[in-house]
Amino acid sequence: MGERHLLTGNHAASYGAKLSRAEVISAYPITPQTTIVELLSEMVASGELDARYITVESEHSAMAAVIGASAAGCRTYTATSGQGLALMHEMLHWAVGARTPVVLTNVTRAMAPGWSIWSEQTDFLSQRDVGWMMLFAETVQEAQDFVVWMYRVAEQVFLPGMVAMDAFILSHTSEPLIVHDQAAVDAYLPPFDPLYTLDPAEPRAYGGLVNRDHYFEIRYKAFEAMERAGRLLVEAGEEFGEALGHRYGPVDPFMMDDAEIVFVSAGAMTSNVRYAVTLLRERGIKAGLLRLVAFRPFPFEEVRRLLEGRKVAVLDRNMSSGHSGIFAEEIRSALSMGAAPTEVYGYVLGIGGRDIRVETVLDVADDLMSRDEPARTLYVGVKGLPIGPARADREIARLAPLEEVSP
Amino acid sequence: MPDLSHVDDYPEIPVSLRSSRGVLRTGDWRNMRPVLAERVSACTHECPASVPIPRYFHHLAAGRLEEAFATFTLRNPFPRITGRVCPRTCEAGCNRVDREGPVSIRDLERYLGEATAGLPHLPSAEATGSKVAVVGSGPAGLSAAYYLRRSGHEVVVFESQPEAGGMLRYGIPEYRLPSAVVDDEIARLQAMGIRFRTGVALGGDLDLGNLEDEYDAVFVATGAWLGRSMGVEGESLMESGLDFLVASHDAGVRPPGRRCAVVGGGNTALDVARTLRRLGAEATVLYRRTPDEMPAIGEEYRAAVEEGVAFEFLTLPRALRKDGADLVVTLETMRLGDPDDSGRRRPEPTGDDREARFDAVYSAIGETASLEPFPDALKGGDGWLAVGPSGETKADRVFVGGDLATGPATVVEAIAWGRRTAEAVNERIGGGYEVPDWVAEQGDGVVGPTDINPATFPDTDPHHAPHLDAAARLAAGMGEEAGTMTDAEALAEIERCYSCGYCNECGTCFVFCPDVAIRWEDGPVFDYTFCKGCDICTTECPGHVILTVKEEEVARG
Amino acid sequence: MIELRIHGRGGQGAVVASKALAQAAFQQGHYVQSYPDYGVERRGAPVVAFARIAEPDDRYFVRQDIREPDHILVLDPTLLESGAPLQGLQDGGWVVVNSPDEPGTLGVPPQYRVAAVDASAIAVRHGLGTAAQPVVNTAILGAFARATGVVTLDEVLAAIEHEVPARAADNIAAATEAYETVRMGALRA
Repeated sequence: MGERHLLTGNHAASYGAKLSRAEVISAYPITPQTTIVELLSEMVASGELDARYITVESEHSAMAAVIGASAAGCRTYTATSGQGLALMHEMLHWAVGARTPVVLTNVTRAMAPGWSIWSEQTDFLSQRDVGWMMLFAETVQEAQDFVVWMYRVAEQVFLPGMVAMDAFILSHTSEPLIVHDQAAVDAYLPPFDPLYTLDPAEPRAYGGLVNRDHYFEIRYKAFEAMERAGRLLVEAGEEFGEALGHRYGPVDPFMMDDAEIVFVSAGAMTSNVRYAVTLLRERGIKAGLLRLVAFRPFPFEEVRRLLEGRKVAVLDRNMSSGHSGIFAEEIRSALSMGAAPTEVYGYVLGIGGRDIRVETVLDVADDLMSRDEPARTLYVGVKGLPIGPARADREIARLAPLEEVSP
Repeated sequence: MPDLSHVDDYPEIPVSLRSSRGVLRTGDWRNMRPVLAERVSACTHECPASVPIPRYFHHLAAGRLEEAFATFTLRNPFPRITGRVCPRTCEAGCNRVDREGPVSIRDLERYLGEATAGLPHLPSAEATGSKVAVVGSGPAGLSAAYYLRRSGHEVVVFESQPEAGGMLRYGIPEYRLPSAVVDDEIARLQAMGIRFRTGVALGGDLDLGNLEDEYDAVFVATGAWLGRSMGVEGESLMESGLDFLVASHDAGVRPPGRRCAVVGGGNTALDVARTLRRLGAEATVLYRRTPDEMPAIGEEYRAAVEEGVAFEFLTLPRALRKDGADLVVTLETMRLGDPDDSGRRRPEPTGDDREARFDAVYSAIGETASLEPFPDALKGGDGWLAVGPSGETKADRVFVGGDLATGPATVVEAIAWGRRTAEAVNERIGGGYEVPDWVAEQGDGVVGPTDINPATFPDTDPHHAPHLDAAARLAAGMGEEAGTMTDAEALAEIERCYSCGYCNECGTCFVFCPDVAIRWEDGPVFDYTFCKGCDICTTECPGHVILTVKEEEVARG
Repeated sequence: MIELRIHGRGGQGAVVASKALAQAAFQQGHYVQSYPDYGVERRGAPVVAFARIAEPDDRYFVRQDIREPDHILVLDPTLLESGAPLQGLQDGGWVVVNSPDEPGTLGVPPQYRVAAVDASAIAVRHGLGTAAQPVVNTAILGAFARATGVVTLDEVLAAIEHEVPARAADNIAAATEAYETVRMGALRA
């Protein structure tokens, strides 16, 4: 079923939205996302996709537009990146409170300044607490499929969801994928059946004041819905495999059965980690990999079951400054609830698009094997420094006056 | 420059100042580069003397009078004169002409002239030991004398009239160019060491052959003073317009009667008519074509109309006769036919005659040069002098120029010819004067209106030098009709100049460069280590001085 | 696995070249990858793009910059002066370069093979880009096919048809002319 094509991650996401029959698309262009909505706008213009494309003046307005369209009963899609996602932040909360199952693709991009267009996951993970479902794609295939998978779950729990894709190493990488048959996707993903719709015939007030006597209960329903989403993700991921040939789940273990040291990673860098694990195995080192596919809802059970008792290196292409890499923080939290003692080492690497190479992962493996005490945050690949913690005693240097510097 | 191999080499924040620019040595991204490419402004291009107008404006605005004067006199020694009488082809070419009107270039030229009237001319080059004779002290002769003297030659100027100045003194009416200005300029030339011998005429006391023997080079610019014959009956009853203009410089000259006619449509005709009005007479211009074909410059015609000069167009005198005190002129009405060689429509007779009565009729149908003093050896097949582009003749040491070579032309054209000949003489006998580097560095291209960024300049109406209205002009008699701008007016008017093709250090490129890749060292200096070749400076440069060239062309030279 | 690196400047079409190379191999059933290393999207900025062509038995794929390419394609010969394109190139690898000069005169060390093609002139002849900014990517692909045999000319032409359908005829003509006129130097070490 479906056809084999050579597409970029971004265009695969466009096909994800198209196969999902998104009805309203609104976005504001930003590198490295732009080509997603560029292709969608062409599809809308040519009539290939029966949708309304709304141009707006900012990402904040793009999110407002799709929330409104979703409330009116449409399946809606948007895409953004980095600063654009940050500008949407207020509206991201709104989408949850309004229970609008918007789906968004975020091409992860390091935040400015320094001005950067390259990959880093901090923009995405900074939205941790808004209440959206959050998935990480590793391949071009997943950049397409996760949009479909996300709609399937989002529209059952009436929660929005976002799919992350790493800038350039996925968004602009062309690789083969199966573009699914439309009828097969239609069978998997039924039309959106909204809870309420904005309808003049049935006038209601939306988004009004809820006093402290009521707010908690309303929000509690959204919290419960997210718990339910955890189960549905698993079910819908398995059904995806049956219907469309690729089986997905909230985690993706690799060579974990007898693994003594385990890497945890998310997103496109996982391909290199997996390759490194095969090399380590060739050297007789019992290495394994746990890829996190779902970040929200967080797969507590799977993480605890698969990691407890092992030596774990969490690879974070992101940082919660003053704490740890964000995955490391989450993994430790999951393992703190009744799991057997587990050593968690937090590694921060690839910030601002720095290449995370197979050799980089092998360096981390060497470092991991040389340590016997869990470390909060170890920085990998900072120029001039060995893998290690940040220096708390470094003096802040002022810029030298201009005239003292020869050009 | 830190090598950035260690985290501690980096600044605390991402700054793009010189101390941390090693982060991005963006110069090697470049496949195009900006260059400062000074070129010829449209006004300079239209100036017969190629005066570097935006360049001297810039010095003037900065208060550098000596530099402004030196820049101007590189091409024209007499800003006080052309600042009064130039026909302003520069202003017609000004890239601002279709906006609020051109920059008032001639008024600024006069301002420069007056502001630097007290300055001596630039020192002359070391003496060459060569001697050059200049025959004729009109604008061509004086200009040649200036540049020859500046080149280090000994220069003697011969003049047939009692005073030097030629057409400047005798042909241009006092109200346009006061004799006192001519006196000053001649005195300033004398101060350079140029000697003047007046009252000696070629063909009279002076012999061309003797001059050739005595001098290393001879430049003859004796002008075009002979009135042309109309070949009509009773022509001897007409007076010469040019003679009248010469006489008008003497106080107390009066026209012979109230009713005066002037035949012709050129500048001499209008000068005669306007002078007649100032001396209390009525003036009627009789011209055989229409205003569109008149060779006189437009502002002269408009001024004449304002001053009450009457015009009878498509009118040709056929005969004159005396009837008592009256001159009776038979006038034939003409009509325009097909264009002639000059491109103007040819007047054709209609046979309709009428008569008119005047007290005096002046002929001003164009002047021609007298070739009497010249040997046949210097003449070409057509009987005229054979003249090269810089005044070369068939005799090695003899050069000619000005109206003698061109027929009646403008002062600025004569000045340009004088300089050209001086350079040709230098080439032949050696010698020269110092020329600043920019002359060689300047490109040939002309900066046109579409090259300019007009949005960089605010809308501003032109400022003009004071000019008497018609009634006041007539009341002032032969007194000068125009004045000089104030300092404030001149500065404001220079502000209007787009400075086409000339860097007047406005700083726009420095401000717009997104990469801090332009340093300011008395003007923009491109730092090609960091310049990405983004083209923004070229796009923003108000006067189109910056051009973008391909790197591979730079590499090939 | 064959790894290719393409060096060009913004506006020359390096990224499309990498996609077309991947497309050519993809149409033959290979697993492929292409990926641009964008600097800043501005005309004239150096651009590097990568392409990987997997062998049928390769199972795992990496996502990282290609540091030790088998062959390189250089769209702007001035980039060779910096030495950056040659970094990590495997001994015996081809340097396919846009240059009117002879392969032996380009200063490439003897352990590499050089194929030179005047892609700028070819592009201009076929109306691709402007004389100031010719789009040389498809011409260089034709030369690459001839020199390396990694893909055939027919495969390249089919890929061009897929990647640049709007100007397919001119680009195909340019690639074909480059294939026919590329000058190939011998290994000197």
